[in-house]
Amino acid sequence: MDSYERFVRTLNFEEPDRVATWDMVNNVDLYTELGGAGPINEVVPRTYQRLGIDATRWPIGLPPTESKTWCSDRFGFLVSKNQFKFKTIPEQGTTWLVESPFKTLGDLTDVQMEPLSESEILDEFIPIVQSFMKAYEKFGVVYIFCGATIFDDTVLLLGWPLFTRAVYQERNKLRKLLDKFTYVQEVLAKGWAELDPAAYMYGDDIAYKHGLMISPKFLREDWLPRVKRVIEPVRKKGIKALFHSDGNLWRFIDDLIEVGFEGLNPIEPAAYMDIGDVKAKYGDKLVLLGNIDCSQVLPLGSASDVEKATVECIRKAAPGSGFCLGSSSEIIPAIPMTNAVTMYKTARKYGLYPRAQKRNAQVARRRKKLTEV
Amino acid sequence: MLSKVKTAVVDLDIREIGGLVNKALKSGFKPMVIVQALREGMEEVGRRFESHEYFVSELVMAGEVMKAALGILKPFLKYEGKQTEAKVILGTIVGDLHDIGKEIVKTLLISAGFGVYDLGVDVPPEKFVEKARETGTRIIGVSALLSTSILNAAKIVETLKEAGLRDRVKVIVGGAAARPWMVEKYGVDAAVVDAVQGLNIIKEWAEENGAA
Repeated sequence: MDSYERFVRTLNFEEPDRVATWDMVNNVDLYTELGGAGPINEVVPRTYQRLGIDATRWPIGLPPTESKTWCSDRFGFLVSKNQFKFKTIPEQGTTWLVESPFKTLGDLTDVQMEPLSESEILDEFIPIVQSFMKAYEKFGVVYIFCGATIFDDTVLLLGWPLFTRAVYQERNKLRKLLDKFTYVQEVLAKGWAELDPAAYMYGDDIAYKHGLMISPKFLREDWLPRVKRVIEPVRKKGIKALFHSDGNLWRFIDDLIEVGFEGLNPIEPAAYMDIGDVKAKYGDKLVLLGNIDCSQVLPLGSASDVEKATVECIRKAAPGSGFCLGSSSEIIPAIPMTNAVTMYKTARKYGLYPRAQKRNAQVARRRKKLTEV
Repeated sequence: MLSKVKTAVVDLDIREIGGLVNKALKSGFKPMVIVQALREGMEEVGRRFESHEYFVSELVMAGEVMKAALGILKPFLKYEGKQTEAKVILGTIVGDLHDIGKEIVKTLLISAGFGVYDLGVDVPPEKFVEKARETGTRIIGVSALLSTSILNAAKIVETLKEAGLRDRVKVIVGGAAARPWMVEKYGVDAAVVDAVQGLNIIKEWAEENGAA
């Protein structure tokens, strides 16, 4: 069974040959060790192939090493004449906005940021994602586009103090800004849906370790309806919409299902998201992706700790399909190669589904017979 | 009047807080008495945050309300005489640019009467130690969200030893990456994931040691 079939069967709650794997590799050492020679659009997918990852949302060519220079006059597909100052930490491959033109509530209307037109966005977006799909496909890996992030980007743009003041004091002006991000994401989702993909992911970090970062009331009033608009074109085409947010989401999973999401990632164990509990409560409604702790176990544990966590995760979440194993966010730079390799190797070893196990046993018996003859 | 000030903090009423503080001053309440009412409001906000009635956004908003109130009170506080509050050096460790946790702790510390030297984000260990030496501050609070940055936080302890300041200065690591075993492994004095828990430890240290 190839990665595409394994992933799609998993999404459809059909039994694949073994547990599918899903991840994002943000680790230069792994690319250097496993990627081999050649251009980046071969090095990256080859690394995934060699690790045994079936599907990913990692956009080839973005961090770890390149900074988001395109953001100096453009925030995604929102264009502004104002300057944004970003800082990239190469060891982490993460970029932060360190200087924003949004400083006061008045700037919500004074700072001009307008989205590009639909055709301008798609003219740029489609060739890029098609090239990612093609590059990964060559190495048997499935690429899933991840749209992002109405809430996160707005907070990033305004900073927490100004964002919260806008929530309480200038909700209508804030809504206009949220609408601009929403429009861009709607267009991207629509474009992605035309490419007949295996799935779509929408990522927005609305939670942290102990729970939601913002009230469910705000999320229900102003975030969910916009997210619903974003995933609508995808769902209309019968493509599954998966949701990504770090943190403890227990309080909000029902809302996510109601709006139309059919998958959840990364199910952080460090945020009290026990995958056995999530599976028991939502395993028939949500495909679960991730869960091996990348905050402690993967970077700081031994290979044996990783193996133990992986086996335990498979035991809890794999029965009945609908589960892709992977890290609880991404393979961050602090994760040693041995631990990353151990995780996927363990998934291959212990993640066989009953039918595959039966088939393997039959093959072994036949081989034994032939040897005896 | 003071109960209205407290309620405005709890209700995150940034529109009303300025008027209420001014009214309280005009009514003859001493600035420190008004600050106490604000603190009580913040304590209630902290309780609601811990019981998941309030969220990070409400905590930040309460900080904004406090900021607005303290902005009015600041000139009057100058004339209150001696400053008794302990000081804390705060910063997000080098390699980490997250500042939400640090901002929350800062707000809680200020509202509890502490003076705060905020070194910002992406701060190398040497800077924390340099500030401790320069100001004589005896508590360093290090924020670390990423597990990748924890080792950098641990380096503060080493740098303090090299500077001969370890016996004088306590180090608390806070944030999503902090774990209790870091006390033993890296020699920090405390490691907490929760802002209120961190505040309580710092309060204890300040009381026990009379940290400057």
